[in-house]
Amino acid sequence: MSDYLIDLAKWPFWLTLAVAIVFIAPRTRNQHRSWTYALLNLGFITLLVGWRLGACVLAGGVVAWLLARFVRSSPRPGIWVALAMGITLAVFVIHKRPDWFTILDTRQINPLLRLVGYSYIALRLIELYRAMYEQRYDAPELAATINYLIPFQMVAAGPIQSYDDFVMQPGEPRPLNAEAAMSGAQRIAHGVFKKFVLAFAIKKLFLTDFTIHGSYWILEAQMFFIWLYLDFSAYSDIAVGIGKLIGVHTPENFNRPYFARNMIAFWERWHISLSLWIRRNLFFPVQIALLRRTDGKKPLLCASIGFVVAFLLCGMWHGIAWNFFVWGAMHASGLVIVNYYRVFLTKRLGSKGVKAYLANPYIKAAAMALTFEWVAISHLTFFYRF
Amino acid sequence: MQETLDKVTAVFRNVFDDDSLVITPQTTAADIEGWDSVMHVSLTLHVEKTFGIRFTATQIASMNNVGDMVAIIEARQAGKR
Repeated sequence: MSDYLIDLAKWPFWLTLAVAIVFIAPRTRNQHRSWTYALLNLGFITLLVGWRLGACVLAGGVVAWLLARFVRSSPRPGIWVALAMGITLAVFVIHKRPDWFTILDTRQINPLLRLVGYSYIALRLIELYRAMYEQRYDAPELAATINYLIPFQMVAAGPIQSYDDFVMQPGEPRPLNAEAAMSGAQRIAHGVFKKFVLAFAIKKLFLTDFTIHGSYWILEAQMFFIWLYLDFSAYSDIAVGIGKLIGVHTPENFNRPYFARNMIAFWERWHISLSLWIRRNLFFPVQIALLRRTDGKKPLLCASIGFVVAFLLCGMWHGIAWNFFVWGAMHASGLVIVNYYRVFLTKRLGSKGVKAYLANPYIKAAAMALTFEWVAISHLTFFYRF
Repeated sequence: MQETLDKVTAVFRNVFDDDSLVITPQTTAADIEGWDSVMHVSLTLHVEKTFGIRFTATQIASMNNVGDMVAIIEARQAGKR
């Protein structure tokens, strides 16, 4: 849990960035730009895993590209989308539970799946195939498919760009000027400081993977949550900064999550790109189907079922194990409680009373503290052996 | 445009129980207390009923402001996807 596999302290990442700035930032002709970026993304992976496994990544990209084309243009897209989603999920299960597939020789493929961040790629694949199935866009070119699935700055830990966002970004970004370069460099420096100074210090000083007995776990739970934010948001800062430098839109992933006063607000501020993915692909479809079935008469129940389905699956996305199931259940129950509590408050206090309640600074501080603790305690499930 | 916006405004005032709400095409969820991801779907289903149309899940997810919503309503009414 505590470390991502792509080590930003090593040279391949920064070398790729340097090459990207030289070759991508000033290029405005769309087709060349797209291919140059694709070669860089593949080159980055190849630097990390070597030629043979790099070729496997390219082959995977070609398969995804072909499947996307078949889903888009076949007269029977249902069969193709089922096949494409089936392959995506099967590889996901192999990635998360190699111990279930001892019959397969996964010694080579599993480190590769971990290294390329297949959990993130799987979410992007689902977005791509869904967009093709709904015929929202033409099928992408091979280079665009690779750029969507393995953008080097977003491979380590997201963000997860939506396919709409990827397609809608301008094909010819403005050439890099001094202002954009400064803003991008500042953002990267901010991320590097957060990760290699602040997060590093907290990890060295306070974190023990919860191996110390006694009440130390209370302090460690707080420090772990602070470390997680600093480390994780640092990756996003670096990715967003690189995006600015090379003219590739890279979505924001965090918005001051510690200021969230409840779990619904928390998920609008924490790992935003994952949260939006869940909303688009799980929560909204479930909620819409249920609301239509009940003719909109049970909105609270429908939203609650949507939360439970979405966050149990989100837990399993983190890992197919009881730990993550409990983590998902904790977050889902937090969201359901907030949803019911809001209705209770409105009934009890009226809409004017609720406004006064929300504006009360003491209540606000207590709500923020409670939200912080609920999330901090949910992280203990990562370390507990079920 | 204005006619659609007026009808949408009526739905918003009803759903959020606030007759003083002023809605413009630029209005986003951040501008209205209570318009969050949970309320969004209920709100759009009320809009569906008012206009006698049906949105797809993707359209519902892609409405980032009232202007997006009005554009999708008018496209649906004109018989486009």
